[in-house]
Amino acid sequence: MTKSVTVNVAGTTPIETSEAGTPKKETPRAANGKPDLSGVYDVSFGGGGGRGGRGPATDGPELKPGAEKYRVVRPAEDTGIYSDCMPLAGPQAFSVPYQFQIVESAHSVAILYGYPGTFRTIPTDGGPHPADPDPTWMGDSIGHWEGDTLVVDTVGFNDKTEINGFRHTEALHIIERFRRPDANTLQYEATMEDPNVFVKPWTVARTFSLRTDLAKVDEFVCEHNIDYTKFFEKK
Amino acid sequence: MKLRLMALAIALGTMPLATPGFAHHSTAMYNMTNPVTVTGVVKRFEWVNPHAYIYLEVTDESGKKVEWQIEMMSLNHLKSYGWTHATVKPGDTISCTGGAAKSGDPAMLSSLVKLADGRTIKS
Amino acid sequence: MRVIHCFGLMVLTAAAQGPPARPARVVPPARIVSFTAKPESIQAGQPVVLVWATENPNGVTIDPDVGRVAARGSRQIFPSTSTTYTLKVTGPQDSLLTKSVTVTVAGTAAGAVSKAAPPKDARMPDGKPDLTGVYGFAGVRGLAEPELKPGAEKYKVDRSGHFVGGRTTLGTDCVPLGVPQTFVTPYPFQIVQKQNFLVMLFEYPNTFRFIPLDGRPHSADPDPTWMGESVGRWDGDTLVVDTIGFNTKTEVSGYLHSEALHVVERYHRVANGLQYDVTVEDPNVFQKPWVFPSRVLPARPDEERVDEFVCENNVDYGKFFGKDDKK
Repeated sequence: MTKSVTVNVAGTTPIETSEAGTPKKETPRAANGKPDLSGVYDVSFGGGGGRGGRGPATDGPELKPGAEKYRVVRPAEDTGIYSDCMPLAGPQAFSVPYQFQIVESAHSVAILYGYPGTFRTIPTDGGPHPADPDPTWMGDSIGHWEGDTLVVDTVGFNDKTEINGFRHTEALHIIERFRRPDANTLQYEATMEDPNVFVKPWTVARTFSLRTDLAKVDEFVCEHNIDYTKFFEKK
Repeated sequence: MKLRLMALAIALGTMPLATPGFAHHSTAMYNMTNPVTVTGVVKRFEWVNPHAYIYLEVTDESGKKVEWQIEMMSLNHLKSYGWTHATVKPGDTISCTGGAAKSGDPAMLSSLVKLADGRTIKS
Repeated sequence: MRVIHCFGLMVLTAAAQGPPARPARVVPPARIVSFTAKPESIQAGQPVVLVWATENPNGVTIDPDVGRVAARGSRQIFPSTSTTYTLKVTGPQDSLLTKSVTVTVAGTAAGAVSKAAPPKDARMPDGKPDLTGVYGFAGVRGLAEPELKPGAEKYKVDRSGHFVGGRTTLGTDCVPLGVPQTFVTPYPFQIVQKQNFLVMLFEYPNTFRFIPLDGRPHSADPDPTWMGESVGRWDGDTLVVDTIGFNTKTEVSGYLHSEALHVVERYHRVANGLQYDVTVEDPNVFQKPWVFPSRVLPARPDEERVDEFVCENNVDYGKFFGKDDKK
């Protein structure tokens, strides 16, 4: 079912609109010539290794001997990583059905996460990382451009997060790559390494779509959490 | 004689401290006007917001070990004083001066820490 | 006055008879823990990383070229000629400490690359001021108490008794503070400005505001939020931000409010930060618009960005009140 309204603009002639696909719009560029990644993007489920964190990916990374404890196994009463509104690290942050917003300026990129209402700032002048960063949930990120790809290097994670079904140590190191081949598409790749957990680095890849209808992500305040564990059937 | 009495007063922590900075909660539950000092061994150092915490094992006069919960400022304030997550480590012997909980619980809001090597740092 | 040294602290006491008339303050001394340049010898065009650590400073600067910095940190620089960098720390009782390192540069550099924040008079392509940067907070001085409507006394926040919130916060759970209350709490915020909008990133409590700059109107009936719905427009070089759509869970300098709260802010760049003027109205609470004294939100050139803030270890503070403390 459709409904139409016509807006008449004095001094112009109407143009035909078509429901057919329009050709891809070019990548917008910033004043410095780099792609401007700014926009609100939808998280779409696809690509390798991500199933919303509901369990370990069957095609996930190889664990070192003795590192089996890092594989997340959720008992029945566990209400999951999304029940406490804590920040999510690396690609896990894009595994929730919310939007995120990138705001790119000359010297830094900010990412605003619709869930759980946090933000991350990434200076893009190339670093370096501090010598011994204080551990944080989303780590210490520095970015630089390689051609049209924004490469973001992050260390300094605490050990409280999961990445696609695996816990990790403070030695976690993530390299993310962002590309915007056309106006409506954001390509994302994340490579994780943690010498205490994984035999070698492993990569997940995702594609996000621009939400042309949204100017911003909404406020998200986790203010009404309840103790869900009491709702489980009593044994 | 007077010098010794004054030194004793300081050791008992009866000299008021500089007012602590912003705490995102009231300080009325702590006795800020009569600070005390506890010395002990660090069991845990939580470098988290909204307040960092040191859990200190203090041995009282009878030899009993009591774990004190030492609350400090938030991380941005601590960083401006020169703290990092590694400034204090489990096993360090430190002293913390601050207002103890009015309830008598072994807890305080500390605004001064003497580190293992004798350096003093705002907290 | 008598000076006693105790645990490395300087404590000034009153004269010998009786207790001091006014309490002395115990303030630990400032110190430089370390200041290094790595490497100390370079070929022109190569980077050098300065790393410094201080404790209990009032202020820290590195000259030349770097300026005001945080208590600890590192900075990548590209000196074009041999340079001696000096770390200066001001501390209590007007103390001043310095330490220098010299970087030797062989050859000549093509041109130094600096990781500078936008210059003070930065402008967007359309000529509007670019307010991108990190800014600090500013308490309010000389704020007149507002005249309340009859029956509106209930909106005054009661901080007596076993109130666990802070001087500027209502609770202990790190929820957003609303506008303009967010600017009186001692944490920095960061503006990232694009052509048609800017975002404000608040270190406390890790929340953000989106402010369109294209003159669009408010939505008809915004869903109530903690930070409200803002629209912005330029009045010359002054950014005027109009915000409605607040929920009722925040305070404005000691007063709760209804969903009819309406806040108009004016931001104007000055030499040392942002001149900030704000007027608050709520027809259910205040007899007339409550005009706040003008103040400056200071620029923070020592901060490249705001930090992560995650409220993760709140304690039940209510139990620490003594049973006999009923004030």
